[in-house]
Amino acid sequence: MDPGKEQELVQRAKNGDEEAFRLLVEDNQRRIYSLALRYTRSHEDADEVAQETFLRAHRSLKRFRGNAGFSTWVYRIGINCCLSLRRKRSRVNEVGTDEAERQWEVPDVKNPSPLRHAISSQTRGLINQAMDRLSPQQKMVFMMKFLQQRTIAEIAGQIGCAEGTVKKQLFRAVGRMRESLAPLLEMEGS
Amino acid sequence: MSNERELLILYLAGELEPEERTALEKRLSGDAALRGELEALHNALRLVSDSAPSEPPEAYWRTFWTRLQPKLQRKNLWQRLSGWLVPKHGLRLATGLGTLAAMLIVALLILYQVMVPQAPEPVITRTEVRIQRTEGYFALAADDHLERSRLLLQEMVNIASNGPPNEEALLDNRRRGEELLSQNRTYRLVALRNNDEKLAALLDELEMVLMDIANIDPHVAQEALTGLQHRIEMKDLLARMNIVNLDERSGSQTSNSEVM
Repeated sequence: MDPGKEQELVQRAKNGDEEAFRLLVEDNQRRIYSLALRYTRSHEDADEVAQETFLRAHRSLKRFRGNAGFSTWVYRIGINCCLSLRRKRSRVNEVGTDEAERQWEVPDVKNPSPLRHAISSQTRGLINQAMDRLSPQQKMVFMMKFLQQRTIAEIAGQIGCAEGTVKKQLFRAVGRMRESLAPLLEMEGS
Repeated sequence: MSNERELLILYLAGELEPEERTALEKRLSGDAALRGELEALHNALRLVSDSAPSEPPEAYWRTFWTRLQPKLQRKNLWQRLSGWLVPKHGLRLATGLGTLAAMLIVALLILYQVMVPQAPEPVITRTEVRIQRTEGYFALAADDHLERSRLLLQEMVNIASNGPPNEEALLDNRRRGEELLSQNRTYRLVALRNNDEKLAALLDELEMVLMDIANIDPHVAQEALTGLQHRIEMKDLLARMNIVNLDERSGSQTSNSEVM
């Protein structure tokens, strides 16, 4: 969406136009959901985060000054929602067992990835456990860098801290993931 | 190895300058151990990215707005109600009334302390019953104050531990901090007057932290919040407030039952 159109929709939404807010949601919902899905690694949690993000955006819309674009602003809200997510249930060995998720795990015929389908749900559970051992900030930085391919400068801007801090979090996160996943990698290598 | 690992992570992240990249690649070609470490890091990252959950089907997006819309309307209703209670300008009505009520109770307490002479007789008089009841009220009010302060401190600790500070939450907590700070001074004075040294000391330490919260910059850096969190944790304020809170509660119950 071009910035002019976005600005116009924001103005209309501020004046209570629900249709304008719907268009803004539709323009951003995939990005927010994708962020949440990569962070939480659970469709149920990602859905909760995405819905909460837009609720918060709607509630705070009157305070949105438009210094940054709406998309950037709502993405920041999404990051905060991810970081404040209280996990309601343990997800150990859970990914891949949820009925809805299994239905969504349709092999991508256009881009086949044999490894992807070879990874058992148990292996995914172990990877999720390793991710859950990271602090929320480490997990967010790790996810934004290696799953969303953002630059360190972009991450620093979006989560509101110095680049040096992002680097430190990234080093710790990768180091811990490397150690946690070492047994899996050995199994894969043997 | 730590610095080398950091270099390798930046290499895999595509964050090295061209000359740094070339220098590292040159080193990698002659260092098998370094190559092994790079491969291990690369494989760990590949494992994570290959196991990422897939995107939802199109049907999911068709229901996204229809599920969101009723929640927005519920929030709108709440905003209208709270807007009615909370005027746009000036002091918030609800907090203002709360503060006024608390101040009134404390003023009455001080008045009782000043006006009521010390009873020389060990006989329980009507005046003594009133004093006991008043002390019970003070204990209840202090109990409530400590509980609200404890919740605020706990929220600040949570914000500090949960990463990038949320400006909206900080602004709200700053306002609560200002309100609690003004009440805290009065409670501390009354506790001193009542010779309750334990409560007065706790309120004194609480005042320092409330002052920090009441003056917090909503754009504060994570480090400053962590500093505040350390101060709260070093003084063990949350646990101590819980203990005093329980003492107050049992004390107030005792005095109330005595009066009855």
